[in-house]
Amino acid sequence: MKYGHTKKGNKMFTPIDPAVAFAVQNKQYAESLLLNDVVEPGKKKLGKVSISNLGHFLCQRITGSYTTIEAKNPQEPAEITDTGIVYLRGKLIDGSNQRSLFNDYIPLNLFLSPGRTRSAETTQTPVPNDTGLFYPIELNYLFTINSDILLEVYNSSNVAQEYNIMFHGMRIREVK
Amino acid sequence: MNNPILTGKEIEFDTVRQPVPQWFYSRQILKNDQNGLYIGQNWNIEIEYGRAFLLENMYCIFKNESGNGLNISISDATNSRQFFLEGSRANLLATPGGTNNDAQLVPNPFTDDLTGITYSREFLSDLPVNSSKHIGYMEPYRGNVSLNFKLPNQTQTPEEEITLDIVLFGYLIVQKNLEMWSK
Repeated sequence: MKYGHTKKGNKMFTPIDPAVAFAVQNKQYAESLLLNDVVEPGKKKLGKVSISNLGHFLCQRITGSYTTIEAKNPQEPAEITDTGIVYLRGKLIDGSNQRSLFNDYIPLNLFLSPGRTRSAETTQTPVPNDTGLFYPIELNYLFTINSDILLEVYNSSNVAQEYNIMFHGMRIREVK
Repeated sequence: MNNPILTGKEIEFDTVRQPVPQWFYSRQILKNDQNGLYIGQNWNIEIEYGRAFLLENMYCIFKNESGNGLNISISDATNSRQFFLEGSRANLLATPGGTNNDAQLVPNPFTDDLTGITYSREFLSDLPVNSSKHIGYMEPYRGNVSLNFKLPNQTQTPEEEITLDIVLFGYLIVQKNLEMWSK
């Protein structure tokens, strides 16, 4: 891919014209949408993030994390530990046409990175995989204006789990 | 990444004919055939009419008590085409690539399990997805993605089953020559 706006000069390092960049940026600019939810134990819940009426949203990458806690002793006082077990599984749906992008409920660790994260519910010191470098996962899809990104999530733990998913992409302001 | 700020060109898109990302998930139970060969069920994925499927990436995790790694072989059952050399290490082809940590579980009481086997709890990894090999395999809309799983040269005990959670990621792409997609 050739970057930059001028036809002359070194293609490996072509200068960017700020005037062009500003003009484009007024119509299309980078944006990240957050989907944050807590799912009660043994329940399913439909998480939702609104695309709003600002314009279409071209998603390009996703990142996400989730907790992996369980009450070892369900009696009071509950002893909550970070087991490293992935209790959440979800199905991603395009809310504009109810099209499911997953064929089944997929464990969150199979499509989210960096994945497991610490939970405030436990004082235990786990070894979560939230350190070090990670790659965002590719998801190239245009979610249309005024629609929703839906994620139906099951929690099979005996305590509530939290997850955070961020959709990274471009806001397309000008609808042709 | 197609960034209009860098390229100076606005992104053009087609809301109707755009490629649709699709994740296909399956839990494969691989059983020993007493000859050291673990074989899974055929996994058939029906491609919807009017779209081709471009298989891009594969993510898998598996139960691996012995910790010796997992060799895997996946082929398209319709034409026996191998996606990679037989007996390749799974962790070189897909991430997270498995675990040998028994303390990590994936309870699975809810899923519409494609294999038809019900498992209450399985020992699988919590490792996150980092990256994976780009496969780049196109399946036309008339066909089904039909995968054979085979694990050669395993060191597990013959009685042991190997559970493999696998996700195929790709895009459903419209066949523009069909009348249904004409403008």
